[in-house]
Amino acid sequence: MSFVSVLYTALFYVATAILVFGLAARITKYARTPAPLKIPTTPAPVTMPGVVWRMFREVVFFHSLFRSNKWTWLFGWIFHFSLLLVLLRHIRYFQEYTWFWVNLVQPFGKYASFGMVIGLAGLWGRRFLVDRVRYISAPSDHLMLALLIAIGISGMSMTFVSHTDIVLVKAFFLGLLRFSPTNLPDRPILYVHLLLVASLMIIFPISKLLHAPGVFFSPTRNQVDNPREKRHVADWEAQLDK
Amino acid sequence: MADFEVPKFREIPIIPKLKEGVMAHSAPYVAKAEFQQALGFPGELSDDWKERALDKMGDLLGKYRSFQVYLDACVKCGACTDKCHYYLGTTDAKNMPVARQDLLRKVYRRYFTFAG
Repeated sequence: MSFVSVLYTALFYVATAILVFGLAARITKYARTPAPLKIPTTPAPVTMPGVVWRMFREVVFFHSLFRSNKWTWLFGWIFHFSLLLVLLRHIRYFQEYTWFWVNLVQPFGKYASFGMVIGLAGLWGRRFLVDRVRYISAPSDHLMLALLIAIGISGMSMTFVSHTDIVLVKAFFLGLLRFSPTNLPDRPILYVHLLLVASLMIIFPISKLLHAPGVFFSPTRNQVDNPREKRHVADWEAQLDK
Repeated sequence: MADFEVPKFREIPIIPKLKEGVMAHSAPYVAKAEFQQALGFPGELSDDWKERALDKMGDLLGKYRSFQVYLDACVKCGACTDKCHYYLGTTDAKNMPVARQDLLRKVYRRYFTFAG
């Protein structure tokens, strides 16, 4: 096996472990931390199905962002939706016999990459052109956007500019899943793309990308607005009252 | 009466551009030592104030999910920056919710997370 392939095999195992265990650690921390105060943002749903519906609208349509800031919503939603389509298309590299719809998503995923890069470019432009957003943008915000744009552009150049041997790539990833590693095709742009993706996986549990699981744990979104019907007391408060 | 320049009310507000250091002249009014002690606080700033502040912060992080989640999940999108009326009134950059949180978040990241 080529030296670079050995390196990338190790890199992906490490990155996956960090992503999975890091996320698991964070999510258990969020789940274990009590939410002692009833603070759903009003107008709030008064039943649990209502909460599920609000969370659905939040995750799928970015409802509260739409009402808050239309430009941010536009670029943010386009980026996230395109990212979803791109990720669904990438499933074809991880399954020997893909589910039927993965074949159908192929054209959507290909052209959604444009949407992804346009959305990211819009968000990054905002960070330079709007003075209040420029003030709050730290280097880590710019770098995160640059990382995602670089992943998008390197992926797009493999699809539209010069193709790589995707059969070998699929064999590589199936080999990783089955613990029998194979070689990657010798293409620098592929190496760049995979390296950037691995670094994204590694920094995921220690970056602001934790807003992905975080939105489900946010007390202003996932609490039912029934403080009068049902008394809400956290464990540590009950201890104090004793 | 103090002199204020109050902007006219508009249907879609103009968001003022931020100015740095606008509120630098204003500081918290520290109460007299004997009043503090009556309330149970130490009269003067104790020497280990840093450790005590960090301990309290760790305590709060363990008790309030909103604190823990929001310090991690804020993506600095800036959608909140034109909403806080303290910011709209003073145009002090640190009054925008994100910048205000960042004052605390810097401490959080340095001491409580792997990134620090």
